[in-house]
Amino acid sequence: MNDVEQNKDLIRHYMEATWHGEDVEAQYGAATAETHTPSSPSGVPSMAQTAAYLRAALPDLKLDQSIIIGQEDRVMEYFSVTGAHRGAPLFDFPPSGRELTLDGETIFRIADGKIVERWSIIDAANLFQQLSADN
Amino acid sequence: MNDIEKRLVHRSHQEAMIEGKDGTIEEIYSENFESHSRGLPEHLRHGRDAMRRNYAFLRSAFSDMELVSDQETVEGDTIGLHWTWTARHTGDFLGIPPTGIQVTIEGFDMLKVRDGRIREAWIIQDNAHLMAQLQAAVQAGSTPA
Repeated sequence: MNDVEQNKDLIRHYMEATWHGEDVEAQYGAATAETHTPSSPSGVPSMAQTAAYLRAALPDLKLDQSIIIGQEDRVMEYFSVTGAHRGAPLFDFPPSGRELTLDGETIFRIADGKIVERWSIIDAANLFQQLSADN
Repeated sequence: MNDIEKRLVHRSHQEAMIEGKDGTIEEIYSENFESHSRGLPEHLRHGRDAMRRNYAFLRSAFSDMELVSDQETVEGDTIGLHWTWTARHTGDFLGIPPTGIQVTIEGFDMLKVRDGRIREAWIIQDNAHLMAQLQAAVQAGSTPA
Protein backbone atom coordinates (compact mmCIF):
# COMPACT_ATOMS: atom_id res chain seq x y z
CA MET A 1 0.00 0.00 0.00
CA ASN A 2 1.45 3.38 -0.98
CA ASP A 3 1.42 6.55 1.11
CA VAL A 4 -1.71 7.98 -0.51
CA GLU A 5 -3.71 4.80 0.22
CA GLN A 6 -2.34 4.76 3.78
CA ASN A 7 -3.35 8.41 4.25
CA LYS A 8 -6.85 7.72 2.90
CA ASP A 9 -7.19 4.76 5.28
CA LEU A 10 -6.08 6.95 8.16
CA ILE A 11 -8.83 9.49 7.39
CA ARG A 12 -11.41 6.74 6.86
CA HIS A 13 -10.65 5.27 10.29
CA TYR A 14 -10.46 8.69 11.95
CA MET A 15 -13.86 9.77 10.60
CA GLU A 16 -15.55 6.43 11.30
CA ALA A 17 -14.36 6.48 14.92
CA THR A 18 -15.36 10.13 15.29
CA TRP A 19 -18.91 9.67 13.99
CA HIS A 20 -19.13 6.56 16.16
CA GLY A 21 -18.63 8.82 19.17
CA GLU A 22 -14.97 8.16 20.02
CA ASP A 23 -12.70 11.12 20.71
CA VAL A 24 -9.63 10.19 18.66
CA GLU A 25 -8.43 13.77 18.02
CA ALA A 26 -5.14 13.25 19.88
CA GLN A 27 -4.52 9.76 18.46
CA TYR A 28 -4.74 10.98 14.84
CA GLY A 29 -2.94 14.29 15.43
CA ALA A 30 -6.08 16.38 14.83
CA ALA A 31 -5.90 17.91 18.32
CA THR A 32 -2.66 19.70 17.47
CA ALA A 33 -3.16 20.13 13.69
CA GLU A 34 -3.28 23.63 12.23
CA THR A 35 -6.99 24.14 11.67
CA HIS A 36 -8.57 26.44 9.05
CA THR A 37 -12.29 26.66 9.64
CA PRO A 38 -14.55 29.72 9.49
CA SER A 39 -15.74 31.41 12.69
CA SER A 40 -19.34 30.89 11.61
CA PRO A 41 -21.82 28.09 12.42
CA SER A 42 -20.27 26.23 9.46
CA GLY A 43 -16.91 26.08 11.25
CA VAL A 44 -15.70 22.87 12.88
CA PRO A 45 -13.05 23.68 15.51
CA SER A 46 -13.10 20.05 16.70
CA MET A 47 -14.60 17.10 14.80
CA ALA A 48 -15.01 15.17 18.07
CA GLN A 49 -16.99 18.00 19.68
CA THR A 50 -19.16 18.44 16.59
CA ALA A 51 -19.85 14.70 16.49
CA ALA A 52 -20.66 14.60 20.22
CA TYR A 53 -23.05 17.56 19.90
CA LEU A 54 -24.81 15.94 16.94
CA ARG A 55 -24.99 12.52 18.60
CA ALA A 56 -26.64 14.04 21.68
CA ALA A 57 -29.38 15.42 19.42
CA LEU A 58 -29.52 12.53 16.94
CA PRO A 59 -28.83 9.39 19.03
CA ASP A 60 -28.95 7.03 16.02
CA LEU A 61 -26.53 9.20 14.00
CA LYS A 62 -24.79 7.26 11.24
CA LEU A 63 -22.37 7.99 8.44
CA ASP A 64 -24.51 7.87 5.31
CA GLN A 65 -21.96 8.68 2.60
CA SER A 66 -18.22 9.24 2.49
CA ILE A 67 -16.16 10.02 -0.61
CA ILE A 68 -12.42 10.10 -0.05
CA ILE A 69 -9.73 11.08 -2.56
CA GLY A 70 -6.02 11.54 -2.03
CA GLN A 71 -3.01 13.05 -3.74
CA GLU A 72 0.51 13.39 -2.33
CA ASP A 73 0.13 14.49 1.32
CA ARG A 74 -3.50 15.60 0.97
CA VAL A 75 -6.77 13.75 1.54
CA MET A 76 -10.17 15.24 0.82
CA GLU A 77 -13.36 13.86 2.28
CA TYR A 78 -17.02 14.57 1.54
CA PHE A 79 -19.37 13.16 4.17
CA SER A 80 -23.03 13.13 4.94
CA VAL A 81 -24.47 11.90 8.24
CA THR A 82 -28.12 11.26 9.07
CA GLY A 83 -30.13 10.63 12.19
CA ALA A 84 -33.55 11.19 13.73
CA HIS A 85 -33.83 14.23 15.99
CA ARG A 86 -34.99 12.37 19.11
CA GLY A 87 -32.42 13.53 21.69
CA ALA A 88 -31.29 16.94 22.91
CA PRO A 89 -32.27 20.24 21.28
CA LEU A 90 -30.15 21.17 18.26
CA PHE A 91 -29.28 24.89 17.88
CA ASP A 92 -32.22 25.55 20.27
CA PHE A 93 -34.67 23.58 18.13
CA PRO A 94 -36.54 20.99 20.24
CA PRO A 95 -36.48 17.35 19.03
CA SER A 96 -39.04 16.73 16.27
CA GLY A 97 -38.37 13.04 15.57
CA ARG A 98 -37.64 13.95 11.94
CA GLU A 99 -34.68 12.55 10.00
CA LEU A 100 -31.98 15.21 9.48
CA THR A 101 -28.95 15.18 7.21
CA LEU A 102 -25.75 17.16 7.59
CA ASP A 103 -22.94 17.19 5.08
CA GLY A 104 -19.53 18.74 4.91
CA GLU A 105 -16.10 18.66 3.34
CA THR A 106 -12.58 18.61 4.70
CA ILE A 107 -9.12 18.64 3.18
CA PHE A 108 -6.46 17.13 5.44
CA ARG A 109 -2.69 17.35 5.13
CA ILE A 110 -0.92 14.35 6.58
CA ALA A 111 2.70 13.83 7.61
CA ASP A 112 4.20 10.70 9.16
CA GLY A 113 0.81 9.11 9.76
CA LYS A 114 -0.71 12.11 11.57
CA ILE A 115 -3.08 14.89 10.55
CA VAL A 116 -1.01 18.11 10.57
CA GLU A 117 -3.36 20.58 8.88
CA ARG A 118 -7.08 20.70 8.18
CA TRP A 119 -9.58 22.87 6.23
CA SER A 120 -13.23 22.12 7.10
CA ILE A 121 -16.78 23.32 6.54
CA ILE A 122 -20.17 21.81 7.34
CA ASP A 123 -23.38 22.98 5.66
CA ALA A 124 -24.91 24.56 8.77
CA ALA A 125 -27.28 26.74 6.72
CA ASN A 126 -28.91 23.68 5.19
CA LEU A 127 -29.25 22.03 8.61
CA PHE A 128 -30.97 25.21 9.91
CA GLN A 129 -33.36 25.03 6.94
CA GLN A 130 -34.27 21.44 7.80
CA LEU A 131 -34.75 22.36 11.47
CA SER A 132 -36.89 25.40 10.59
CA ALA A 133 -39.05 23.31 8.27
CA ASP A 134 -39.69 20.91 11.16
CA ASN A 135 -41.14 23.44 13.56
CA MET B 1 -7.22 13.13 -15.15
CA ASN B 2 -5.30 15.17 -17.73
CA ASP B 3 -4.38 18.86 -17.49
CA ILE B 4 -7.32 19.95 -19.68
CA GLU B 5 -9.68 18.13 -17.31
CA LYS B 6 -7.97 19.69 -14.29
CA ARG B 7 -8.66 23.11 -15.85
CA LEU B 8 -12.44 22.47 -16.00
CA VAL B 9 -13.07 23.54 -12.42
CA HIS B 10 -11.13 26.77 -12.92
CA ARG B 11 -12.96 27.49 -16.20
CA SER B 12 -16.23 26.90 -14.35
CA HIS B 13 -15.28 29.53 -11.76
CA GLN B 14 -13.73 32.11 -14.11
CA GLU B 15 -15.50 31.79 -17.47
CA ALA B 16 -18.87 30.34 -16.47
CA MET B 17 -19.52 31.90 -13.05
CA ILE B 18 -17.61 35.20 -13.06
CA GLU B 19 -17.66 36.14 -16.77
CA GLY B 20 -20.85 34.36 -17.87
CA LYS B 21 -19.10 33.56 -21.17
CA ASP B 22 -21.39 32.14 -23.87
CA GLY B 23 -20.82 28.47 -24.66
CA THR B 24 -18.59 27.64 -21.68
CA ILE B 25 -21.30 25.76 -19.80
CA GLU B 26 -21.89 23.51 -22.86
CA GLU B 27 -18.14 22.92 -23.25
CA ILE B 28 -17.34 22.02 -19.67
CA TYR B 29 -20.52 20.51 -18.15
CA SER B 30 -22.08 17.20 -19.12
CA GLU B 31 -25.66 17.44 -20.37
CA ASN B 32 -26.57 15.01 -17.55
CA PHE B 33 -24.74 17.00 -14.88
CA GLU B 34 -25.89 16.24 -11.32
CA SER B 35 -25.22 18.39 -8.28
CA HIS B 36 -25.42 16.70 -4.89
CA SER B 37 -25.34 20.01 -3.02
CA ARG B 38 -28.18 20.09 -0.51
CA GLY B 39 -27.82 23.84 -0.18
CA LEU B 40 -29.17 24.27 -3.71
CA PRO B 41 -32.90 24.08 -4.41
CA GLU B 42 -33.93 21.00 -6.42
CA HIS B 43 -34.48 22.95 -9.69
CA LEU B 44 -30.84 24.11 -9.66
CA ARG B 45 -29.32 20.65 -9.24
CA HIS B 46 -30.08 18.64 -12.37
CA GLY B 47 -28.66 19.16 -15.86
CA ARG B 48 -26.26 21.75 -17.17
CA ASP B 49 -29.05 24.29 -17.73
CA ALA B 50 -29.50 24.24 -13.95
CA MET B 51 -25.83 25.21 -13.62
CA ARG B 52 -26.32 28.04 -16.10
CA ARG B 53 -29.35 29.34 -14.13
CA ASN B 54 -27.42 29.01 -10.86
CA TYR B 55 -24.51 31.12 -12.14
CA ALA B 56 -26.82 33.66 -13.85
CA PHE B 57 -28.66 34.05 -10.55
CA LEU B 58 -25.35 34.66 -8.72
CA ARG B 59 -24.32 37.32 -11.26
CA SER B 60 -27.72 39.03 -10.88
CA ALA B 61 -27.14 39.39 -7.13
CA PHE B 62 -23.36 39.94 -6.97
CA SER B 63 -20.70 41.78 -8.97
CA ASP B 64 -16.90 42.07 -8.78
CA MET B 65 -16.73 38.34 -8.03
CA GLU B 66 -13.35 36.80 -7.36
CA LEU B 67 -12.47 33.24 -6.47
CA VAL B 68 -9.10 32.03 -5.20
CA SER B 69 -8.58 28.29 -4.84
CA ASP B 70 -5.99 26.18 -3.08
CA GLN B 71 -5.27 22.65 -1.76
CA GLU B 72 -6.14 21.08 -5.13
CA THR B 73 -6.40 17.31 -4.75
CA VAL B 74 -6.83 14.98 -7.73
CA GLU B 75 -7.41 11.24 -7.82
CA GLY B 76 -8.68 9.30 -10.83
CA ASP B 77 -11.68 11.12 -12.31
CA THR B 78 -12.26 13.28 -9.23
CA ILE B 79 -10.84 16.69 -8.36
CA GLY B 80 -11.30 18.60 -5.12
CA LEU B 81 -10.23 21.98 -3.85
CA HIS B 82 -10.85 24.66 -1.23
CA TRP B 83 -11.78 28.20 -2.31
CA THR B 84 -12.40 31.69 -1.03
CA TRP B 85 -15.03 33.75 -2.87
CA THR B 86 -15.46 37.49 -2.58
CA ALA B 87 -18.12 39.60 -4.26
CA ARG B 88 -20.09 42.82 -3.93
CA HIS B 89 -23.80 42.51 -3.17
CA THR B 90 -25.44 44.69 -5.83
CA GLY B 91 -28.70 42.87 -6.65
CA ASP B 92 -31.61 41.15 -4.92
CA PHE B 93 -30.48 37.91 -3.23
CA LEU B 94 -33.21 35.61 -1.89
CA GLY B 95 -35.34 38.60 -0.91
CA ILE B 96 -32.46 40.67 0.49
CA PRO B 97 -32.25 43.98 -1.43
CA PRO B 98 -28.77 45.13 -2.54
CA THR B 99 -26.63 46.34 0.38
CA GLY B 100 -23.48 47.22 -1.60
CA ILE B 101 -21.25 45.42 0.90
CA GLN B 102 -18.37 43.13 0.00
CA VAL B 103 -18.93 39.58 1.20
CA THR B 104 -16.41 36.76 1.60
CA ILE B 105 -17.07 33.08 2.14
CA GLU B 106 -15.11 29.90 1.75
CA GLY B 107 -16.12 26.56 0.40
CA PHE B 108 -15.10 23.32 -1.28
CA ASP B 109 -15.74 21.74 -4.66
CA MET B 110 -15.49 18.01 -5.28
CA LEU B 111 -16.14 17.28 -8.96
CA LYS B 112 -16.27 14.08 -10.97
CA VAL B 113 -15.22 14.38 -14.62
CA ARG B 114 -16.43 12.02 -17.34
CA ASP B 115 -15.67 12.15 -21.10
CA GLY B 116 -13.95 15.51 -20.69
CA ARG B 117 -16.85 17.22 -18.91
CA ILE B 118 -17.96 17.82 -15.32
CA ARG B 119 -20.55 15.13 -14.58
CA GLU B 120 -21.18 15.37 -10.80
CA ALA B 121 -20.53 17.90 -8.04
CA TRP B 122 -20.44 17.86 -4.26
CA ILE B 123 -20.08 21.49 -3.20
CA ILE B 124 -20.15 22.76 0.37
CA GLN B 125 -20.03 26.50 0.93
CA ASP B 126 -20.49 28.68 3.98
CA ASN B 127 -24.00 29.92 3.23
CA ALA B 128 -24.60 30.53 6.95
CA HIS B 129 -21.80 33.11 6.94
CA LEU B 130 -23.01 34.66 3.67
CA MET B 131 -26.51 35.20 5.08
CA ALA B 132 -25.08 36.53 8.38
CA GLN B 133 -22.99 39.14 6.52
CA LEU B 134 -25.96 40.26 4.41
CA GLN B 135 -28.37 40.36 7.37
CA ALA B 136 -25.89 42.43 9.43
CA ALA B 137 -25.63 44.90 6.53
CA VAL B 138 -29.44 45.14 6.28
CA GLN B 139 -29.62 45.80 10.04
CA ALA B 140 -26.98 48.53 9.67
CA GLY B 141 -29.01 50.09 6.83
CA SER B 142 -26.28 49.62 4.16
CA THR B 143 -27.23 50.52 0.60
CA PRO B 144 -25.09 50.56 -2.57
CA ALA B 145 -23.05 53.74 -3.02
